[in-house]
Amino acid sequence: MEPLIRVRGLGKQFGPGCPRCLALTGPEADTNLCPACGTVVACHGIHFDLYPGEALGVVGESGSGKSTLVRLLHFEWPASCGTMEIHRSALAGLGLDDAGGEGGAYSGNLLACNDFRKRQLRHLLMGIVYQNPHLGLRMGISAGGNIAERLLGAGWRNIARMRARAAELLDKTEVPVSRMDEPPANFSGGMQQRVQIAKALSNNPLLLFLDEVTTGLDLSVQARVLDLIRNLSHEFKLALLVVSHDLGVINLLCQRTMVMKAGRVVESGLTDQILQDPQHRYSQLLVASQL
Amino acid sequence: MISVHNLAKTFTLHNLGGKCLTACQGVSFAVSHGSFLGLSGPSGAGKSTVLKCLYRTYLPEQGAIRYCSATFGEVDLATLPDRAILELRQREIGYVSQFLKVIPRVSALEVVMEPMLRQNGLAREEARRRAGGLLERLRIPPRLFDAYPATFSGGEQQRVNIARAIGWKPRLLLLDEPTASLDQHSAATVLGLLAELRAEGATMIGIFHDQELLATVADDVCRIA
Repeated sequence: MEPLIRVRGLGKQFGPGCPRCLALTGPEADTNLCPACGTVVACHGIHFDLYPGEALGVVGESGSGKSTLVRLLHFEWPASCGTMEIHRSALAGLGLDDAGGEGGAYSGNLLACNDFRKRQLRHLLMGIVYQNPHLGLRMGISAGGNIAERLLGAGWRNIARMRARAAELLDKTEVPVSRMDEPPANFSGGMQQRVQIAKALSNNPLLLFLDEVTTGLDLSVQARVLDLIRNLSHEFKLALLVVSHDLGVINLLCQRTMVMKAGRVVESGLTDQILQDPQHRYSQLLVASQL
Repeated sequence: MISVHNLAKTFTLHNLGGKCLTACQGVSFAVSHGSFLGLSGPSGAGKSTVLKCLYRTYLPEQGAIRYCSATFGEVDLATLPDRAILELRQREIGYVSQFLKVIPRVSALEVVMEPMLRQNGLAREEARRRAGGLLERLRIPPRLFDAYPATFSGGEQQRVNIARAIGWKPRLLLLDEPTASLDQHSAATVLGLLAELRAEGATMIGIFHDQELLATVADDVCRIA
């Protein structure tokens, strides 16, 4: 099986940048702030493959660059360097076959596409669930409307079909369909999170980004959201990129894991190996700090 | 089928100033197709470490683990990429840990069915029938089938663990004290199930604390000092 996406040399800097930025930041320097010029190296040199149907975990402390990584891959921020390529089989039939590149199994660098093409790719292939439901949902319009908005982006036009699809997804994510015309602002945190998941899945994505989805939810709600994600990812054969600082979440969802520190990946491996035989100083600290 | 050459594993503890603990070193053995190798040695000798190195739960540090896989041909499990290791775990290598570690909030029956569905591609009904039969042989009463194993006794959990590990008929089975928390009767049932699996051609490497037990199941014993 070939990877769904290949990410190579991905990086993001905020600031003017100087020749010493990379040498003076990173896990050894224990900072991502360049002392010479004040540039923040949010992440650098990220390299991984994500396979169809696989869940890849990204762990690390706050500020290690996990969410930056997701925002780059979801085209929310332009990358400073690096490439993301997608397997052409994922583009077939979507009218996106000309995503650059020189033939072969993979597309060109998606990060270099124009904004229009990026929006298309995002609407047709990707879904995202944020820690903060305010980022993923419009709180003032109905839950069903939130899902319909996403479907419109993916090219749906028939209102009745969109409503049926929204009801189907809300049902799958255990949100009472009778409340689909209420705005998410009326919902509890766990319910808002489930509406976000329904919205993220509405366009049948191949790739789902989960950015700290259970942080801030109480334990029983966390468990329900995680069980839901686990079941849906099997059902929809999703490739997941799971960002979390919670090793329990990573252990539950992911077969492979990358550990990030100060903007760099310090270690990657099978999740059980990372948890039981962490190699890097920082991974050991992270595992030892687990409650 | 599998041969280990000069395997060594050292843990470097960074929080103790880079202190190095050697868990095992100079371990070599070979297991032929369809046979059972027992690992023996005192507590702390590194028996479990060897098994975990074979399964990649620990990263082997030195040495080679040559394995003739059905999927890829001959490979070195010490250096094989992560994805390929995952594939072997899915298709041919099983591992029975000392304690049950499963996803919470999944019923006992589902725990046993899951690898059958995923690895053997069985239909749900067939998997349910087989998993139920296996659990009953291991004397887990049907009224517990839809309960969560986390609520079971230690011995019951271990029997669910064994059912999960052998139900999908792995080609190579790694056993870390599978009978440690079981009474004699249950232990005998487990040994019977292992014997059946071997009769179908499975190869096994196992740790048993009980020397007598080890002598009855193993064709060969490797002493880890």
